[in-house]
This record gives sequence, structure tokens and C-alpha cells, in this order.
Amino acid sequence: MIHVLYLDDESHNLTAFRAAFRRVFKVHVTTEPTEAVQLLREHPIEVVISDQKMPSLSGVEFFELIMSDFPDPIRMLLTGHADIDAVIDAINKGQIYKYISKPWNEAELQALVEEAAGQFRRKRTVQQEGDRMIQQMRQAKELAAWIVEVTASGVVAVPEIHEKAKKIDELLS
Amino acid sequence: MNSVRLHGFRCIGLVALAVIGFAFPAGAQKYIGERMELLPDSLVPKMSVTEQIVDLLGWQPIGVAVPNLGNSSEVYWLRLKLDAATEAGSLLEIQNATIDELSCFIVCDGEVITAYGDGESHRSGQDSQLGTYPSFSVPLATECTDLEVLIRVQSGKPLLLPVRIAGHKEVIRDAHQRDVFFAAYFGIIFVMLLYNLFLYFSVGDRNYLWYAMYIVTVGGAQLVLNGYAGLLNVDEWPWLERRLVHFMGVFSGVATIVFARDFLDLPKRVPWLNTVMYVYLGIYGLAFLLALFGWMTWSYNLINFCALAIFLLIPGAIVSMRQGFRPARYFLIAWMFFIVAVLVFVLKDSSVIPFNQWTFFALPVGNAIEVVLLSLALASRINEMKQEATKAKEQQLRLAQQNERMVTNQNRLLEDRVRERTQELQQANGELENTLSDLQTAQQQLLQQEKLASIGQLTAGIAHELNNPINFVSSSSASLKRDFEDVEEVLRRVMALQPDSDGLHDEVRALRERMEELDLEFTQEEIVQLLKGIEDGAGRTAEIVKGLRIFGRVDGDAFAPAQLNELLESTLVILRSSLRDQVAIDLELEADLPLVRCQAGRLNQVFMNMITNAAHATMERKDLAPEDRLIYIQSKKVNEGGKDWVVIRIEDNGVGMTEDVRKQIFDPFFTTKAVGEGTGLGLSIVMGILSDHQAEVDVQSAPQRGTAFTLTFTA
Repeated sequence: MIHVLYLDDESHNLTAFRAAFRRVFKVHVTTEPTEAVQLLREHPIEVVISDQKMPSLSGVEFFELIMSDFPDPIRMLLTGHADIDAVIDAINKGQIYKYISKPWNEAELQALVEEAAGQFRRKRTVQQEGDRMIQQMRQAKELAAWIVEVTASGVVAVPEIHEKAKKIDELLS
Repeated sequence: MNSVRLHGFRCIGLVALAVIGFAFPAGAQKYIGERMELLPDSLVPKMSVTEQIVDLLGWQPIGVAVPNLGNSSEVYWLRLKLDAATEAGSLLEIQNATIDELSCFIVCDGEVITAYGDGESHRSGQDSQLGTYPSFSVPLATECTDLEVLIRVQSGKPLLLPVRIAGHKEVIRDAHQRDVFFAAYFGIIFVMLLYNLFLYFSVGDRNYLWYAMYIVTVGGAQLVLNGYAGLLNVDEWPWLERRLVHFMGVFSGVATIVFARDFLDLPKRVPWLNTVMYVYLGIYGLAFLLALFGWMTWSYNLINFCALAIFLLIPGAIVSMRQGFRPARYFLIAWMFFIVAVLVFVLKDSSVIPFNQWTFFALPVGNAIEVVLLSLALASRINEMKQEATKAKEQQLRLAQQNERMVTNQNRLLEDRVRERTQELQQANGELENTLSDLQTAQQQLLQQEKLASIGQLTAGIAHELNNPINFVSSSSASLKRDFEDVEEVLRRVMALQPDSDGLHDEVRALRERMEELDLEFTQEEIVQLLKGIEDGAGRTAEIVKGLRIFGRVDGDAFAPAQLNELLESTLVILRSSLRDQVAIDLELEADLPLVRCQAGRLNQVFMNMITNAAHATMERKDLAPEDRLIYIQSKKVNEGGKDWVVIRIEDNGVGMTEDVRKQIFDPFFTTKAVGEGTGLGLSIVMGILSDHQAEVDVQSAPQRGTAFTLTFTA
């Protein structure tokens, strides 16, 4: 299930959001930014949705705040009415994925969240794949270094060399 | 014209000469100076005249026909031997009318037989005075062998002694001739005097007066010189008589200088000569004083010296002429006559030329001609001046005509200009009217824009305010439906349970499993929450709509009693979203505020404008935290002067205004905001609305302290 975090100062909105999406997503809601950070830490949040207009800080500011610690979750901004400055800020500073206006359309919002989660997962997969490859490359490099060393010292251990070379082939394939 | 006048002058000169020539004595007269002897008085013992004088030694022959004893004030004795046979009974005439003292003694054989005068006193006891010259009868003393005449003379004037022996008839005839001559001369002088006086009084030119004086004095001098002073009985005042010649000499000289100076306009044309003339006037004054105190000889010498002044007038006249002063030429001609005459007179006095009828009459003749010519010169001067005046007048006329032409042209130009300007002005006026109507249109458009801007602000605020409740109401209702479907499913299955059926236990277990699966417990809780949200959202929506309705009252333009607190609250509802978290609002509304007859819709515009302005002013205080940016809104009832007033006070702690700005805030188009950010009409519209409500407005502000608007309405 997709983990979604929703931050809004209007608790009715949180209730409505949870009621609407608790059946399809794992929904985390809060009115407090600090609690939101806590939730990010405790759960594998994939999509973060924040209201723009809040008393203590704006949505864009919140995104900026969490950017360094939690760069991966996809960010979406939710706001009562179009405010061009907020949009510009959101895109430039907050690096948000989508901008949604209230009142939301449930189906649309669900599709957007799923899409965002897909994006998140793809990104994570690519990253994991890359990490794995780097790991394999490193191992292959180590094996190659061993072969070179053994060959240079004149020690003849042909079966080991074969075994290692076969391993390098596997790693690089 | 000039030469014609010159001809006229010449003719008149000739006629004058002819007239005078006619009056001249026909033949030359014989003077007997050569027969006479002279004895200075110093040689005569101081005694009464006796026979002894005759015998005195020291007699000297004179040797000239007319003895000239000079000007010495000395007393002289003259002796003349007569031929008793032929000359007894005739007259001895001394042709000098200005001798101060004259005595005559007829001596027969050493004995005085007739004495005229006592030899010391003034000329008294003259035997007869035929005409103006002294003459003495020689008695018929035919028996005398030695018939002598002794003459004692003394004078403060040059003693020229033309003496002759003649018969009565001859003397009388010559006297008559001379009288006629001088009559003619005085006639000319008199006529000229009258003429010039007349001219003076009619023309008013001062020069005529000087000329008249000149004529009087010169004529007077001639009168005195030629012995006609006796006609005026001056011999009754011997003191005066002795000085008359001197006085007249001084007067005529002064008058000459004064006249010539004025005529030739010396001060302006020949200043140096003018100065010299002053010197001469001074010398004349001195001569006058000398005569007054009895220094007769010196006085006379000075007067003769001063006569040189008339020569100096010649260069004066020439300079004047050269300067284009034409009458100076006539002056010069006339003056030449006079100069010649004076020259002759002076030379005769000093025996350079002989004394005779010609030399004697030269002065009056020359003078007469001069007087006439000068008169004409004056006329010419007047003519000249008249011509100049005419010329000047013509010039003036020409100038005037020119001026008139210029003025006419100028007028035409001016009229053209005025017409042009009028057209331009009319055009400008038309343009101005167009501009004005454009402006009015623009103003209306701006007012419309201002309205639209507030509507825009309004909608933005309302949109935001409404979107939140709408969002959770609509979302909640959808969720509620889903929750209810879960609940309904469970309920349906509960209702389908049969108490007596076999699998009741299993069914109940399955139902419980389903309920747990649906998390119905949470759903129950959620339903309550959602319902509360819906209720809350509906309430908030209703509140906003109510505020909107109050704010944008349909009957907003009609005056109706309204609760201003309500208006303020509704305005705040509209503004809440844009002010929230930016500004702290402190609301202090009096509960039982009287109703105010107002146009509620328009007053909302006023409150909204003022509160928005206050918010902007406080938001500019970057030094203040949002919660310290205050807007204080107060309403209260005030009873003053027996009447209830509703006072609304909107105060902020924003940036405030300077006095200059404060004075202008209600001016249309005045704005402190950047170009394009405000129309500058907000407060001017507010002012219009408030004055429609006859509300009093008070504004107090201090830079960096804040602003307070106080509105006072009639309850």
C-alpha cells in the first residue's frame, strides 16, 4: 500500500482525506509540521501532500525544510486558490511534483498520488539497481586485482584464477 | 530767400545812410584851436579870476584845430585872442556837451569885461545856450585893442574842445541841423524801442526785452553824449549830471553784452566768450563804482577799454554762424556798422583821427543803422526760430503721422493676433472640453476599475474562504457515503440473521470478521467526525454567505438603518483570509450600538478600504512580528450635545504618514503605492461616501507610529 502523508492546518480536511483514501492508501495526517517530520522518519512515506496556506509556515517552506533529510518522497502542494507567487515558489524552491487546488476531485487526486508513488518506486528501483551494479563492479575490480597480483608474483594457481575469472564474468553480465 | 533778405538789409542800410546824410551839416566847420593857447591850472595861483592870469607866463600854443586835452580831470585854462574888429559880437561855441566845469571870461585890454561862471563851480552863467553846446557871446567891444577870451575847463570825460567863432545865425542853423539829425536818430531809436517792446510783449521772447534795453541805454548814451540830457533837466542835479556819461556808458555796455550774449546764445555756442563777457560785466561794474565815488577819469578809461568787448563779439558771431545759426550773420553785419562807428568815436577821442562832423556823427549814424539792422536780425532770429518751430512741428506732424500709421498697422496686427489667439483659444477650449470629457470617462473607468479591484479582492478572499469548507464538505460527504455503505452492509447482514437458524453462530462470527475487516469501529468514529466536518463546513459557508450578503447588500444604495457592528464583522469575514497570520486584529465593538441610517453596501466599501489600508500599513512594518502588527477596531456610542453619535475608530500601528501625505490622502489619484499598484482613488471614493453620510472624518498619523481614522456618524 502506498504511504501518503498529508499536512493541513484544517483538521476537517484531514478527516475528509483519510476517510476518502484510507481504503486505497496508507494515510498519515497531521496539522503540525513537526509531527509531519516525525511521521516521515517513522514511516516509509512515498508521497507528501501539504496545504500551502498555514499559520506557522507555508507548504513551500515545509518542503524546503524536509528537502535535505527526505529528498526522495514525491511532493504535492494543495491550496485553496491559485496564487501565482506560491506556484513559482513551489516549483523553484520546493521542487514539487504536482500542484492541486481545493476542492479536490477524489478520483483525480487518487490517480495523482498513485502516479506519484509510481514515480517514487521507479526512482527507487533505478537507484537500487545502480547501487547493486556499483557493488558488482567493485567486487569484479577486486577479483581482477587479485588475479594481476598472483600472476605477477609468479605463483601458479590456475584453478583459482579460473574460478575468479568466471566470477568476474558473472558479475559483469 | 536768404539773399532777398540780405538785399533788404542793404536797402535799409542805404536808406538810413541817406536820411542821416541829409541831416548832416552842409559844410565843414572851421575850428580855431590853432589860435588858442593852453595853461594847465597847476600853474595858476589859487585866486579868483583876475587880470593877473592874463599876464601869467607859461601859455603854450596848441597848434591843432581841435585841442584834445585827454582824460585827466585836470583843470585847464585856454586863451584865445580875438580880433576885436571882426569877431566882437559873435558867438564862441565849444562843441562839447559833456564838459563838467566850464567858465569863460572876456578880457578887454587886461580887464575882465564879461565873466561867464566863476571859474570854479559848475558851468553856470552861460550867456546863451543855443542848442546843446555851450556858447558864449563876445561883447561888441570894438574899442578894445586886446580882446581875449579865457576859458577854464575841467571834465571827467575826454576833453575834446572843438571851438569855433561864428555868427548867431550860423550857430543856430547848425544847432537846428544837429537837432534834426538827433531827432531823426532818436526817432529811429524810439521807434525801434517801441517796436521791440511790442514784439517782446507779443512774442514773449526775452531777447526783445534785452534788445529794448540795449536800445534805451545806447540811445540814452547818445542823448547824454550829445548834450540832450539837459532836456531832461539833469542840470538840476549836478552830481548826477557829472556822472551821467559814465553811467550811460556802463548801462549801454552792460545792455550790449547782455543782449549779444543772449542773441548769439553764447553760453551754449561759445562758452569761452561767455566767460570773457562776464569779466567785462565785472569791469563795467567796477567802472560804475569808480564813477559813483568820483574816480571819473578811471571810470571813463575803463568804459572805453570795455568798448573792446564789442570786437570780441565778432568771433562770437562767426563761431555762432559757423554752427549754422543764420541770424548771427545779420548780427555780424549790423555789428560791423557799430564797431566802425565806435572805432571812429574812440579814435577821435584819442586824436588818432581828427575831430570833425563826420567823425562826430559817425557814432550815432552807425548806431542808428546798427539798431535797425539788429532789429531785422532779431526778426530773422524770430523767423529762424519760427521756421525751426515750424520744421519741428512738421517733423512732429510727420512723426505723428508715422506713429499713427504704425499704430494703425500695429492695431491691425494686434487685431489679427487677437483673432488668431481667439481661434486658438476656442480650439484649445474645444480640446479642453474633449480632454475633460475624456477625463470624466477615464475617471468613471477608474472608478469602475476600483470597484472591480475591490470585487477582485473580494472574490479572491471569498474563494479561499469558501474553498476549504467546500473541499471538506464535498469530500466528507463522498466518504460518508462509502462509510455508510459499509455500515449498511453490516446492518443488512445483521437484519438477515435468523435467531433460530442453525448456522447463526457461524454467521455471527463471519459478520464480526467482516466488521473487523471494515474497521467499523473506526468507521463509526469517522462518521461522527465527517458529520461534524460537514456541519462545520456548512456553518462556515453560511457565515461567509451571510457576511457576503451583508457586505454586498442588494439594497446597499438605499439609506436604511443598519447595525455598523454587523457591517464591520462582515467586512472582516471577507478580509479574514488575506489578513490571517499577517496582522492581529483587536475588535472592541459596543454591544448596544444604535442603528445608523446608511447605505450599508457603500459603508462596507469604506470599512474594507480602511481596514485593508491599515493592514498594508502594518505589514510594511518589517520590524514587527506578525502578531505585533495590530489593527484596533472600535465602535462606541457617544452622547454629545443631546444627540447620540456612533463613533468607529480604526487604528493601526503601521508605518503612518507624514503631515504632507496626510493632507493629500483624500485627493483623487494621490497614492503612495508604486505605479500600477493602486489607482489612488480608494480614499477619495471613501471620502465621497462618507460625505454622502455626513460623517465626520478625523485622521491622525505619525510616521512609524501608526494611523487612526475616526468616523463619527449620526445615530
